[in-house]
Amino acid sequence: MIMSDNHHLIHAHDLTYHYGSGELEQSVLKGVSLEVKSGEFVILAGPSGSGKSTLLSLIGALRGHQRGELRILDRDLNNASNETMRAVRQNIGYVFQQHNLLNFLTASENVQMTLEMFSDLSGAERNKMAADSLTQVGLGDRGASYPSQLSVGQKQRVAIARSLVHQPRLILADEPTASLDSKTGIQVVELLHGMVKNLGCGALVVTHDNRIFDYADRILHIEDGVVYS
Amino acid sequence: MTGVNRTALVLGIDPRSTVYNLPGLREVQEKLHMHDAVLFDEYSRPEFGPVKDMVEKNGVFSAEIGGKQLDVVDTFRMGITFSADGNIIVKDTTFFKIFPNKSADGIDVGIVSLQKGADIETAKNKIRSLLPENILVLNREEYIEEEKAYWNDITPIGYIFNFGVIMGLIVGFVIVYQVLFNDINNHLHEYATLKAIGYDDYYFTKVVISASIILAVGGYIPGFLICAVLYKIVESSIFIEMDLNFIKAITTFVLISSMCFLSGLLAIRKLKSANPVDVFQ
Repeated sequence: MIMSDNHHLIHAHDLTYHYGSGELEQSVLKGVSLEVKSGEFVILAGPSGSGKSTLLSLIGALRGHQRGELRILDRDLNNASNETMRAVRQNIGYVFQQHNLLNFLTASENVQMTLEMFSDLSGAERNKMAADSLTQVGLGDRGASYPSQLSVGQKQRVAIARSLVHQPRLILADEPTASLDSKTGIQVVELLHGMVKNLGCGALVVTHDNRIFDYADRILHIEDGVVYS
Repeated sequence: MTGVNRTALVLGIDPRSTVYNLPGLREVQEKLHMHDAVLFDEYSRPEFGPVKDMVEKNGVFSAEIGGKQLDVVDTFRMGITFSADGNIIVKDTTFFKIFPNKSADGIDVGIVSLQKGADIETAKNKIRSLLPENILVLNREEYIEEEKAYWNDITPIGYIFNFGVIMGLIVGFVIVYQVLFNDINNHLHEYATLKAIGYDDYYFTKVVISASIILAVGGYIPGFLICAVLYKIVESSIFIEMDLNFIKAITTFVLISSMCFLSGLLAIRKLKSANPVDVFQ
């Protein structure tokens, strides 16, 4: 395994990815290079079909890349095993465009789903960590509520609590404000930004919502599979 | 007199014999010494008429059995089978009067009473050595099993029942599979999310198998209670003893659990289509 600089949570160099093969081959990422360090809040912006989601899925260890170098959280993902990919994913906090909460679980139980993977935690510990995480996102009193009893913004905040409860070193967010109104969207981004700065983790946020660009330490643009600083 | 013919099992016995231990028989067995006397099973199909009431009200009354006029003198309790709607017991000599073509040498089933403390197996082997090979020598339990095997394996009734069980399992399998499949399909995005945050296939397998076992147990308990009621209803309708015993209950539970487990295993294939990449689309 190649060890990266401790401060580089994401190190991608000359990363390429294509769908299909032969004459049907369609390149989505064309030699992408980027780095994200601890404590950085980086925004990746670009139009639809530019390769944002594909890049995020590669960085999120959700699929393997085809060419180039990719190191995430000090782990080399070149030809990585499923076990390695899963281990990397366990240390990433994902915030999706949709909250994807389990409707039959309470807010607290949804947050605890992230912690259930870690068998060294007792039920009481998981409960307390979930309560703390919900308090951090301003929903300390809604732990017993089901998703159907929460507003869209509150659901997204529960999803953020779920993503951050295990204190991941890296946050990957895909259009976190897309399903939210302006005010709630800003609140959510402020929340993510505050988490990054307070916890010292890094965040890569994919968006084309220019209202949140002011929160970024760096803004990267992606178009036709190429990333520009 | 209804003029309608009905099928009844006729047992011809020695009135002094004590081998038949049927409820109510010992008390009235002496009456078989009477000329052309018949004892009627009060658990016979009601289509035979209110025989018990008539005996209690009128004492002896006349009935035609096998074309012979005989006297019903009292009742006992036995219960019907698939082969006959009712049962009557007569003296052995009366039996041959009803069935003149039968002879005392043509015994279908003979009962051997042993003295108290006698070794059944030794006696059985001794009797077997004395009889031709085509005659079965069985103890009580073996005879019961032989009868069950006959009805289960040889008669159409057994085949239909077994076929019903298999059909029930297949239909149950499809229903449980559909329930699990739809449940997985409805939560595919959530499963993909859990895969994305690091859950492995083993976890999802556990979830689906647990769901299938919950379905098995959740379905079994009310199913068992409904069956217990249905058994009683069927028992009172067709006058055949329906025994929902422990072995049947456990066998059914094992079959249902296996069916649900297999459905769960098949439904797990759907989980493979929960691609964590989809949550970033």
